[in-house]
Amino acid sequence: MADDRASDSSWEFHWGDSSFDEAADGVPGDAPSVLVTDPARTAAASVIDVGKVYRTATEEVNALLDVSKVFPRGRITAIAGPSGSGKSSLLRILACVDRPSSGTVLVEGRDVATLRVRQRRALRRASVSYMFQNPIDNLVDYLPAREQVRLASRLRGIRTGAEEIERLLRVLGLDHRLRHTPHQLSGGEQQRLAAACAVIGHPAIVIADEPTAELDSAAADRVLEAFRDLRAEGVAFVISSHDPRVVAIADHLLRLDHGRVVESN
Amino acid sequence: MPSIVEDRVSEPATSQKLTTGQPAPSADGGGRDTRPPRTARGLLLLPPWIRAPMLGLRQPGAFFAVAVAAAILACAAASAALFLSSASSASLQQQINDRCDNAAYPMIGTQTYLGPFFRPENEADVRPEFTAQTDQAYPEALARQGMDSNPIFIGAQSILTENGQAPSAQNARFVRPFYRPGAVDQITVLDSGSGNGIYVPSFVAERDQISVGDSLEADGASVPVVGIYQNLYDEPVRDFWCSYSSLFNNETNANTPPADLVIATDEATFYDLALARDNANSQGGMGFFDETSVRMWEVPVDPDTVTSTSASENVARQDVAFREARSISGDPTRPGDFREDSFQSEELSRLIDRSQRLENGLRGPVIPTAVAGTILAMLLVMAAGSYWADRRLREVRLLSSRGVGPGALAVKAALELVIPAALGTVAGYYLARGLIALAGPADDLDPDALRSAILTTIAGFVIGLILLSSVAGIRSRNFTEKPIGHKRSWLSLIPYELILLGAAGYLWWQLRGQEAVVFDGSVAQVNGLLVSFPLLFLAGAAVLVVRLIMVVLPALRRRAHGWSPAAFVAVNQLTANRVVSASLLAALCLPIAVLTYSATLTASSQRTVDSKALTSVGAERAVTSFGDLEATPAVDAAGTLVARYQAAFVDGAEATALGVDPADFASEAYWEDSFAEQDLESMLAQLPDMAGDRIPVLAAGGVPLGPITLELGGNSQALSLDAEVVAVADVLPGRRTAEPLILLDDRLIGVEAPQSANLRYEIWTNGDPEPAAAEIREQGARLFRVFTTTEVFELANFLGVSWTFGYLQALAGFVGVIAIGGLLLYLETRQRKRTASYAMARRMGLSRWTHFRSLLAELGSVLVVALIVGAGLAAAAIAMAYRQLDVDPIREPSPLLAIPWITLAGIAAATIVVAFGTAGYAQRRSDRANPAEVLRLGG
Repeated sequence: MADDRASDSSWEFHWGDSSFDEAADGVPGDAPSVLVTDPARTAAASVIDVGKVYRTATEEVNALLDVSKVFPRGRITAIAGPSGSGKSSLLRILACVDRPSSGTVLVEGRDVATLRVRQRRALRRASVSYMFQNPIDNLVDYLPAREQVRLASRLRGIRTGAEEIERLLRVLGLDHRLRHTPHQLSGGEQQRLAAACAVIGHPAIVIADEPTAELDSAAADRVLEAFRDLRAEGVAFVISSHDPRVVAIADHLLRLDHGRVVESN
Repeated sequence: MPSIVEDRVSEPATSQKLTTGQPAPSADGGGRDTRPPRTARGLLLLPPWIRAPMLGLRQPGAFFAVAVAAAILACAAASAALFLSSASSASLQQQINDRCDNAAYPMIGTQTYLGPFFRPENEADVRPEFTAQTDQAYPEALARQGMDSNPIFIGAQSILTENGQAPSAQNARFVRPFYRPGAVDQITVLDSGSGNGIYVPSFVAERDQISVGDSLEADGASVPVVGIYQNLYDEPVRDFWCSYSSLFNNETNANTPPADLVIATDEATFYDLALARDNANSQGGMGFFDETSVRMWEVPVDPDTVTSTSASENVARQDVAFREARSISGDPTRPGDFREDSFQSEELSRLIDRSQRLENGLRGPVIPTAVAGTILAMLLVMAAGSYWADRRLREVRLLSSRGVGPGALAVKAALELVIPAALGTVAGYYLARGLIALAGPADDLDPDALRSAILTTIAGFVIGLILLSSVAGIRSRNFTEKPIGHKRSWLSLIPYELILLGAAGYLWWQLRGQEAVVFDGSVAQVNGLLVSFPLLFLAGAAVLVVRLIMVVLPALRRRAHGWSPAAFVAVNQLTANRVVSASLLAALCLPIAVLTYSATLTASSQRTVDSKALTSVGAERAVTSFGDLEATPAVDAAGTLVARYQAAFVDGAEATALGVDPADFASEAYWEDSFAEQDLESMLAQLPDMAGDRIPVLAAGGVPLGPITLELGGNSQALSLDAEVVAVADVLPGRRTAEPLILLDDRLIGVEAPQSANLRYEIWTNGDPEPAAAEIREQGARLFRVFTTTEVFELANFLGVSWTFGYLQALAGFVGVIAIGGLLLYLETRQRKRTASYAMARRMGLSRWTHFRSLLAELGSVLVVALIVGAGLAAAAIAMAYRQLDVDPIREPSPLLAIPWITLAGIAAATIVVAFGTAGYAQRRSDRANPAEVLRLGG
């Protein structure tokens, strides 16, 4: 069915809701506040007054304090902040591997805090993609590029045609690398291939932890360009990074310090 | 919030369709479904699972670790069945070796008059018919059971006659016909002719002037003499004659020696004599003894390869053959015929029963030991699973981050590791068999035991693979999903080792009320509590001590700031992951403790048995005689003369008195310093001088110091002596009964003891007994026998004791291998971080030599602490247990402690070798790693 739709129009534009219209207009950066309009339809994820406390034998550490944010589809949200500011904690919660100590976290409308481990895992499998900082960590080292994407799709429970995969890789500039294994790719190519794997099957949210930290400048630019291109997929990108280039391409910014929101737009 | 959910539900599922895939359908009723339509089968068709078996081959480290762990597990799982079978076979073989070869032979036979002894005169003589029937039926019955037999015919005593007439009873001379194939090859032939006939012993030939070619007439029958052989009682008993030595040796010192054995060259010659004898008996003419001829058929088997199963099968087949053979016509139930009595060998059944008792006795301690070893091996297997997850971190973390659960990851691990696990299992099974063959009691194993071992090995493989993959799956999941910063559960704070210690205490309490060594029949069996108690105690105490050590580690880390770089790095490595360090320490403590414990108890039980035997004999050998002996220089040179008054009384109570020569008694007599507060020489020095008008004596067995009345002999002629107990001992050499033992200077008795004192002279010696025997003959006395320490426990079987602790030692060695395997996995698991820190430290100026010293300090300190703690805990367990290990409470002394210094030195040497070996290994791995790569991958 996806193939049928793909044959109808360009692969970037397939939304049937407001996001589709916005994307079709080609001005994703101007998307209205999804919370104001209809968060249920447009927000891939939202965190509301979330707190996270880590307990050790001797003390308690507040990693997140009253953090609220909506992560809309088709948008890139950068999370910035110094080390220890709570970025990783927030990413873990959004990635459904951890639960908040307080507040509400909605991923595709489901409250992560109320889900059990299996349910969170199922939600992650269907709706969340996570990109590790090190490009090679996002890939299975014995599979060629095309199989990497196919595996990601199948793990999400979706069969994606070869043409579809090739088209996605072509958009990311990897069409000449279809049969190459990760070790035959550059770091930038690896990270772009990881991005392809992340968006295949249309998850609600892609979480990337410092995706450009391991790359040189040119490769980082190409990866960010890929994110920008993939934004039109209707996926919410949440990127944790110190890289000002990431902040520059982001539609929204959430800056944390000592677990508190110091800037949000 | 509910509105959001409802809104999402109302959204058509197809509204989000993209070219990048189809959306997932709904699976729960509460919102848009997030569960993909995946099944386990679907997952298994994806590359990470399809390719898993081949991927496993691409991981040499994990492959090797899993194969070794699986091999150890298989070895542990298979060992119990193999060991028990091996012990049973060895016990059986040893018992057979202690006896004549044909003790292991199936044998059936008939003991009957061959003549028509009780046949009514009007009834036909069926004897030849019946004889022919039995000669055919018995071997055929055995043959039907697949057993080829050889006949052995032993006739009743025949009386030598001249012209058919027997001499007077006073001049009667007897011979006994004997036939067994090959017998002529097992005698020393002095003269021989040709043809069939009999071989007569040289004594008969000389006495009756018989030569080859003459005829020997017995009971009126005449058979040709075709050979003369050396008297069998004049030469050592050959194996062939082992079971029949009573036919020619006067073993019971009977007044009438056995009839001379005439060996028939063939069955017909045998029957000529045997039938003539029974004819004579039936006619009431020359028969003297109500004896019957014995004809039996035995099935030779190799005693060195006999197993419990093969022996039991032989017994069963023998029984079937026996029942078939005795059912032929001519059965004793047939009245008025002749007496017939069929029989079958019961010796093998008795031996099997004894070996079965030994096996049953071993089962108690061996099974829990094997289970403990298997559990430890499973821990290693689980560690290997964890190691696999570490090696495959990148892929499994990626899969986990994409929502693959621990179950699917466990399946992937199982598929990747099934080949090395299977190979390791096969290798482990054959390793167990090899170890049993090389170091076990015997290398002959029962088919049943092999089947059992294979089944337990397969079960171990399956359980091991499940555990391996489960740990791998859970650990893989934890790379992604492990909660961070959660407060430790109170469950994790419970010192579970206290449960082990509590259980050990309970078993110890139970053991105190039981015998540590019990005898089933004459087979010593170790109480299983003597094994399970220390295992639980050592495991629990080791963990507890290690937990306490863990408490002080942070303080050690704080103090390490002022130490040398090597010590500082070592302490920081150890404290970086206290749980892993502590687990390693506990794992190393355990084999050291178990090995020390089991080796000490083995040595102690052996020393105790030896001591009891030496105490009983008095020295290594006691050459005993009939008749009086005097102390002469030759006797003194041969040993020390001891007069044993077997019927003595101390104040009316039964006792034994030994008259000794105080001057040289101590030079031969067995002595342990623990026997008395004084040494033997000091005590003996008090004997020569009268204590007033009393004879000074030494006493053991509850006689207190002070005056006593010592009576030698028990009737009215008893010699009564006034004696003074000048020293007492717990044990005195030569004590063979539970009664008290009195030691005195024999010269002070002064007068000849009455016959009722039952005096026997002995010469005790620790050297060659032959000079003592020669001196006995020289003095005109008769040599009775040479009593040795091996005879003391001749009837008892202590194999179970030594094998039980031998198995425990094997377990300890085995656990040691597991611990070293754990040590290597510990190094491997930490290697990436170690190499990263090494790379950083090198840039900070740390030399390679300093790093090696830090490794040596890190690993060496763990091993040395494990050695100290393990040995200390073992010492505590030994102190509690060794006094219980009395293999024969009736005999003195009570258990003695023996320290196995060689084993302890071996453990210490192994500790040093392992410390240097593993440190060198870790250093080499660090040197070979590419620091840039390690640092790039983030350690």
